[in-house]
Amino acid sequence: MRSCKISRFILLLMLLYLSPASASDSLQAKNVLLLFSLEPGLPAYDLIYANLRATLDKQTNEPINYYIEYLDCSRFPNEEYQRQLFSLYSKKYSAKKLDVCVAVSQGIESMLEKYGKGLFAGVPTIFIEFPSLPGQAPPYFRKPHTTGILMGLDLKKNLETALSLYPGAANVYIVTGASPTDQFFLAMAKNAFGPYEDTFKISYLQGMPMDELLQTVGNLSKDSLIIYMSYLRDAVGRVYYPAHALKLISDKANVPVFGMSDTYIGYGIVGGYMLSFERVGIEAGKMVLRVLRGEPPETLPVVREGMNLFMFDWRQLKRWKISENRWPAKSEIRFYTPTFWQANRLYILGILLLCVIESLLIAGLLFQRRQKRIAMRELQESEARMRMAASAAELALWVWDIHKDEIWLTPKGRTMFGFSDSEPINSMRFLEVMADEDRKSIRQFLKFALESGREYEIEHRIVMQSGDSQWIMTRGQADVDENKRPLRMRGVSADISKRKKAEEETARLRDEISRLSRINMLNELSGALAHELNQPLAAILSTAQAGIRFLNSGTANSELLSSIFQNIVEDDKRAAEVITSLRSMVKKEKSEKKPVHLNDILNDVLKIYSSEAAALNLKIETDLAESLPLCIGDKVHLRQVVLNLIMNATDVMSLALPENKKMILRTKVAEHGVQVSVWDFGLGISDINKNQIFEPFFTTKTTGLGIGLALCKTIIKEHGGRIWAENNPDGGATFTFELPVMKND
Amino acid sequence: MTEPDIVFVIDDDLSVRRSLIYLLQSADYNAEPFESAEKFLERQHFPGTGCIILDVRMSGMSGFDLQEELSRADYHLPIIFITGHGDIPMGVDAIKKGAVDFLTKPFDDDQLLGVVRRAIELDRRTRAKYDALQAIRLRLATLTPREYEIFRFVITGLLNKQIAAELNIAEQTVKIHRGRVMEKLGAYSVPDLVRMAEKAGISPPDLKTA
Repeated sequence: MRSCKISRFILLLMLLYLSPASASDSLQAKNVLLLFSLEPGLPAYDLIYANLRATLDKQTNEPINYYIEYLDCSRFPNEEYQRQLFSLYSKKYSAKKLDVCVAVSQGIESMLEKYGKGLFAGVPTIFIEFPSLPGQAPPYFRKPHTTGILMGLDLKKNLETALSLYPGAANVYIVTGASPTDQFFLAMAKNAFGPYEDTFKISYLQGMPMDELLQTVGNLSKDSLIIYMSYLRDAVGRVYYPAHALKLISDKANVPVFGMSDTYIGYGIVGGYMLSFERVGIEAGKMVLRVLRGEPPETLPVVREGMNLFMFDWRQLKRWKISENRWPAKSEIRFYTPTFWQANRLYILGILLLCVIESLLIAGLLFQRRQKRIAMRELQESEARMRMAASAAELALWVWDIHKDEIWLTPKGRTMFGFSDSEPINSMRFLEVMADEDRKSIRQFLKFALESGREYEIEHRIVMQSGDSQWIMTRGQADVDENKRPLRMRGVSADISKRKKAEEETARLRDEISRLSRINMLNELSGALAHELNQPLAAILSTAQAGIRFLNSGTANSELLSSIFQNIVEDDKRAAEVITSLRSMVKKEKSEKKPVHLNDILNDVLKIYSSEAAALNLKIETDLAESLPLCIGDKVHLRQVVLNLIMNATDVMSLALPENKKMILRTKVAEHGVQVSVWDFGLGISDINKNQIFEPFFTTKTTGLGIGLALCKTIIKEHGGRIWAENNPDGGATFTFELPVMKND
Repeated sequence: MTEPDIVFVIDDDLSVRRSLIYLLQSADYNAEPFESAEKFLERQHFPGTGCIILDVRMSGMSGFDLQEELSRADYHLPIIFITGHGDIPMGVDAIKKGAVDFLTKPFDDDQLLGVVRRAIELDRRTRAKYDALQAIRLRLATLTPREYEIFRFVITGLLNKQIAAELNIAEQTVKIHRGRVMEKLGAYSVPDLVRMAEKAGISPPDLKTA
């Protein structure tokens, strides 16, 4: 049993290897018959066959026998011939079991129907056809054992492609021959191009004798283009291969020729949106494979898509100077001939790169040598220059040898610190000349510098023998050994007394300006403040006089008198409060920063301002955050900022309608601190002024000096905060300042 | 039936308002305080004698606004303006519009009380005049249209015969109507009638034979 199996296997191998022909014939080989309705030699057929085969070869190792028949029924249309032909095929293939029949192009279906019954009954058949024209019977692929491929030509898109590539065209010439196939294409073209006849002059050069046709296409106006369909035969009966006819035409034509299928490419057409017989072949191959693998053909969907693509002949694009940016995306470009640069780009670049690298190497070496020479010379000069620079800049250079505790000092330095020319200086002596109040911090800095090895900079005072003090700026750094122990400290010192003096003077002036500005603001408010003071004074007078009258008339009782005095006290306190708040604005005290509650600042200012607001019929609303953290600040200065912002807001609303005369004061806690904002309902800030409003002497008022906001900015910056202005979405502007929150440490 | 005199104090400043009330009470006036003009307008109409002490500058309706409002409403209480910082043109303007005086705070008790006294006196006189006029008007209202017509001719000094000719009626008829007019108006002579007509602002008719 077992040996029998093995021997059969060996026999099979022998059959396979010794006699492949007979084996494929009898056992596994599949038989595929291709029927082409026209004569042999047509490029479309060649392309279909070649790609069908290539696709099958790629997909399967099974042996396949291909049989091809050309029916040639365009040249031999008579029925007797066709009948005979099929009866011949019938005999020819009687011994073969046909697995698939592929029938290509128009008319073949009806012939099979008529003559091929005996031969092809039950053979799975794939028809490859053009879609039928409107009004003609559709191909009947749905019969048992059949399926198909519809080679749709998109002639409209082809024409539009031609027009977009050659945009000047106003005349379109369609070239066809006179054979039935030619006429089929002509009908197809007329059907497709009909809608364009309104826009373009479309002429059909149909079946013209070749000489005449060539004459015509050679003398077309420049605003023309040609679409070549097919030319199998001319009117006088001369027969052509369409591709060859095309070559003749395109050589002669004085305008670009566009075509409808990839079989024409290389014969002088520019290209177009064309039917690809290559793709048709591939699709047919896939279909044949599925049938060979046993799928019933009627279950395979008819293929209609994916066979058209943009394809162009690079040489023709150049010939007609069609620029690359007109080519449709995803175009297939054939016959591309690269220039020398394009072909050899990598080599050329490589060689150039080598040259550059070598040049750079040489340059680098030369440069290095030069640098070395320069460095030598510079080192020598540097020391001399350093001394000169130090003395010119009035700088003192010093070095402190920590182990020996010796300080070396340039002559300039000895003068600066008040040492005599020759006396030895150590750290004790050096610290002796420092001002008492600075000595502690200098020691701390030195300690820090020695421990960290980092550079430090301090400003301190020294006391000269005369008793005068000078301001000195010193910058130093310690050198450390490999164990991070300090070896020496080097440093440079400069006399900054002049600068310090100028700074102090500037600060004093700024305080003075700030104070004057406050007085100025109060001056503006004087009317309202006088009123504010006058009210309690008037009340006190009248109340006191009423008291006297009650006493004189004998109607006074102690209860009445007590309440009269109570009221007088209240009114007097009220008057005193006005005076106190006034003084708080003009006090000339040294600026001092203490913890402040910004809500209190707002309330202080409101006390001063409320009567002015009432006089102007201005509503001031407050929206104060309930629990506000403390900030550090100078109360007088902060009140000044708030009052200034409020007075500015009042000014901008002086012309506003009564119902708009209002402002909102807000405090809130923000990410970086506490914010105080004054929101007005005026006209807002114009874009032009936006960047300038905080600049000194910038003003939009006729009477303003333009220092208010500039001062505000200075004050807020001094408090480590920031101030800004922005327009409100619904009109008016908001000025906000933000102060950092006091740190609890 | 007669209401006691009242001085209304309208000032938005509590201290001032309170002090004025004391002062007025010390001089035996009834005083009513109001913290705003609006509040005063809400008060029931006061038909008696009195005056208003009115602050010029108040939040909301100002003193001048109230003056105009009262004048429009025919509410004729004399007004004394007080102000924290008044100027002369402001004062002149207020007086022209009918204010009794214009005082600048602070003011002496005598100064204010003097003005208050004057204002109340003025109001009393105005009110008396107004009451008399009101009486005449009431009596005039009892005349029939024909009697009223005859009354207008009588005050021109025409005789009954002349009036009859003017109106194309019998002299006897004029005489009867004239008797009724005298009776209804409580007049004893033609000059009495003329005075009443003057007070009530009644003018004589145009005469055909003039």
